[in-house]
Amino acid sequence: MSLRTSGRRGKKRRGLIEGEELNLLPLMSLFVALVPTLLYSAVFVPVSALGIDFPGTGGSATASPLALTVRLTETTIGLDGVPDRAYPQRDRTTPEAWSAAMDTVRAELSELRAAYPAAQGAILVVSPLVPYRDVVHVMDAVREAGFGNSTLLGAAAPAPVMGAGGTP
Amino acid sequence: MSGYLPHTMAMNRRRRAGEEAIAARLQLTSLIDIFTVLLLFLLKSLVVGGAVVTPFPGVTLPPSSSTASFKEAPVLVVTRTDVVVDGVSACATSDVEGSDRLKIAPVEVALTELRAHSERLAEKSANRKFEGKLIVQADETIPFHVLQKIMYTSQTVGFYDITLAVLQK
Repeated sequence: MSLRTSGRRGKKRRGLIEGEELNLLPLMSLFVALVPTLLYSAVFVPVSALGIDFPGTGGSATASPLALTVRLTETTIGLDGVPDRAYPQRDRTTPEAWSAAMDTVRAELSELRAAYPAAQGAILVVSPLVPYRDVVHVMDAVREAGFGNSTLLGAAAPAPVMGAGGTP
Repeated sequence: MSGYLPHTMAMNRRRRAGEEAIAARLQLTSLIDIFTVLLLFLLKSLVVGGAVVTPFPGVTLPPSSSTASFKEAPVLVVTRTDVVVDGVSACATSDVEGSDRLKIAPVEVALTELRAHSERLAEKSANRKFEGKLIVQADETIPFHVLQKIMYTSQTVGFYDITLAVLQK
């Protein structure tokens, strides 16, 4: 890349005028060093945070007027803990049944949200062998319905996840 | 940046005619344009403290609609084969799976060391303190009881504020 003034254009070229060239080599070296460094540290997978509550640690479900509970087993899902209402445990053994059951649960959660606008949080009682992916799926449904974070509890566990504890 | 192209017929002819060699210039402008755009893109994707939000190799995080961001915290990873605390394998996932107790001793030891390390760092820095935060990256296929034991053990050590790392849908 050279910077040549119009005055010199007509003159006979006697060689390169080195002093007028922009020396781009340091810039290129910088780029060549920076690009691999940034490529290495760049994150192309969008990872986000999902908050959870635990019993005894002051979760939002603790102070909620509704003890909304979602029971999730390897084969069924259903709501519980709503006064004067009984929800059936819906089959989720096949992907189609799981999808249909989640659609129904989402609708029921929306209804409950409208009926109990002050309710916050839900207790998620999960069977031991339920895959983590399905737990997150249900937590999403609870959060999307406006209930906020879920409180995780293990079903048929020898002890609760966490007893009443102090602060760190 | 310039170079010479010797041994060409035209050059030889000109040399013979007493003229100087033609300087062949590399046009770097377009390359620098590419580098500049690439650099800006990568700077935008750069995450300081990337270990927090970079999925651990071999771990498939569960998809979620959550878009919340992380606060800086130590990371505990549960892969299909290992439980990794702060980058070091604490025990095998099968050991956690086979345990009939909620508290997993090797994980407890690793987390206790991690807590002690965090507290030592907090003592040295005025604007830093141990807040009991922990980020859990777990493979989507992990059974819930494994996660439950890991979370219970974390809480017994003092990591009360647990956040799950999920893949944004």
